[in-house]
Amino acid sequence: MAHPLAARLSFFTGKGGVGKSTLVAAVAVEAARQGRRPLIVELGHRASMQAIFGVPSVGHAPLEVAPGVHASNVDLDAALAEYVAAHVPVRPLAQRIAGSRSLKRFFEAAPAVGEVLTLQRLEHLLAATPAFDPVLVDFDSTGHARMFLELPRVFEGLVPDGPVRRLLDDFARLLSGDEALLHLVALPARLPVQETIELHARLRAEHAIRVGTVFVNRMPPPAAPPTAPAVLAELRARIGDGHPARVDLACLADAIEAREDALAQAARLEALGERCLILPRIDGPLDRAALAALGRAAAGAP
Amino acid sequence: MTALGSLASGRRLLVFVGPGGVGKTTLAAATAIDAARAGRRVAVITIDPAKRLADALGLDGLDDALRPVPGIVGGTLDAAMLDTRTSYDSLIARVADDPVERQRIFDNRVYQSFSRTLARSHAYVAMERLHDLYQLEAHDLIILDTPPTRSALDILDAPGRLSRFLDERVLAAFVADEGRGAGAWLRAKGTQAALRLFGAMAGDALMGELAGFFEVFFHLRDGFTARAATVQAALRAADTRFVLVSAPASTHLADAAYLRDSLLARHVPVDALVFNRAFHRTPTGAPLDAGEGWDPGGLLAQVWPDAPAEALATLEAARAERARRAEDDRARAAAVRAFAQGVPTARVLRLPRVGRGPDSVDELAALAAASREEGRWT
Repeated sequence: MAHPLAARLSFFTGKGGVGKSTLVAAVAVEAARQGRRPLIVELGHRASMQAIFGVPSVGHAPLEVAPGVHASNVDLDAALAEYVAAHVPVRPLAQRIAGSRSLKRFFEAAPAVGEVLTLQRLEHLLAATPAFDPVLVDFDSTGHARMFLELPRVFEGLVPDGPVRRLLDDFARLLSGDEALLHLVALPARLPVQETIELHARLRAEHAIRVGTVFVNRMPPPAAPPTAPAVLAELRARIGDGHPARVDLACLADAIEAREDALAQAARLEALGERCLILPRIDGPLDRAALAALGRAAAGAP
Repeated sequence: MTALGSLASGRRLLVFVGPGGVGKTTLAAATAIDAARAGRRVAVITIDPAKRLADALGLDGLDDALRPVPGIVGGTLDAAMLDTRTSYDSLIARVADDPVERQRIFDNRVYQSFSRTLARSHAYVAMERLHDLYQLEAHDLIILDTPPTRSALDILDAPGRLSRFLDERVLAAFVADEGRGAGAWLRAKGTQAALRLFGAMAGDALMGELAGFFEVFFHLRDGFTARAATVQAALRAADTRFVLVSAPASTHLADAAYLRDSLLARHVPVDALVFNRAFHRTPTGAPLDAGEGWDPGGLLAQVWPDAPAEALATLEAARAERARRAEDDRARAAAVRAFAQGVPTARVLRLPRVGRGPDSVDELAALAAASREEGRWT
């Protein structure tokens, strides 16, 4: 149980489409506002940060996407070159290795290479100076997050020594220590909540990483005064089916019901016993002000 | 014909791709049910690790096997949800005749981690399953659901990637002398200097296991390359279409745009763009933005002169909610139009937001049926 800015390294996971990337961006904006130097790390072929921050493209090298906020999109070819350069001190040889077509084909087809390179990249970013703090990692799905957390175990006994072993050991230590948190993001809807509950149970049973905050994203605000349900039926009867206001009343009834459903789903997550934070739905465009407000709600002073 | 039905009409293979969380699996299932009810023999495969298709079809614990979905009248529907490990094990069991050899593969650590946990293996195994179904010719229509963005491209790239690797000298050198495995690989010449260094970095144990792993594929090479070619041809056949599903929120659209451009770059025929949750439903089907022109106070004076104060507040809240929804719909329609300009040849279907995901075959069928009245082609 911890605040999203309480650790140096934070992972965010959740079912696709729950607004995870937007939330990571907002947390980063809030961290920068508090005077820290956040870095967002996107994994895989994603283009979320460039859309959110309105920058042309986010590449492998950290790019300042908003004042004080950096973002990086891990690129495996670049990570491979980096890896080889770090372990082969002779530059021409390193270039030959990284440029080897056979080796590239081998890495493209071999399992786990991409994941190990991603780890190497994360370690590299964590060691950068001036330091990035916090480093916020945006996983693209819950399956991806679990696979990543399982890496040290998958390689247990397979890699007894050498740089890859040290990398995996460091990562395992980092995951189980105080410096790393895993935050879960869900929507207050049946399937995302169910998947989050199952993921939480699996994390508890199989992994040492600490769960930080469970975010319940896009909670619809109350659509009407609490007294509205009492007068809705009467209004509907008096106005009649033919009047255009009937559509407005239907919208309202629907919104009241949606809010009730959402609250009931949020309650299921609150029952997990973790730090649970409900975030409001953002109406209208996601501009800088809206992102900053979401960031304050998600990661402001508790 | 329903709007979803027209996506499948005349097709033999329909591939649903799109970012996560846009209802892709649900729409694939609804399309499959719709086609089956129209009399076709349909198979739907999902390789999404989440058990969503199982939920939507009411099939608890749907495993790797293709099973008939009950309650289909007209044609037939078979559904399978790929479990990577089971699929791989059955593939190996089929192609490795020698029991000792087979056990050697099952005991290989890299094989174990590859077949159970690692992302890319979904793509390879999906390819195998698609190949088997396609060759079986027991279905008029195969619907392939895919995992989110990144892995959907893996499905297109995996067959080529692995067979390219298998054709490369690197593998030949790797398993040059089958008895000596990694040792032979480490002793080999040429570009192997690079690989030797990698071996030093990763350790001999991993190298040995990797050598064993690739030996598996070395034995399977001819069959594998042929299957890869069949699947590549199927994915680009004249009666195959890709349906790109998205939702009109900006972050979904950014991921969908990446996918759209990647598919076009791979010369994949994107036939239709489907935008789920693109607009709000109204009870009468009346457009949301046509409701202005009345005033809550005036209306109330007319129909309920002695109304309590909360009646006015409620009517005002109702107006505000309708206006919010109308504005939301306008923004989404504009976003869809901008996105669709990137694929001028594709049809664009917008589907309404529904309160709750479908829970049963009937509700999925109802979703497909509703797409006739409510789906908006542009």
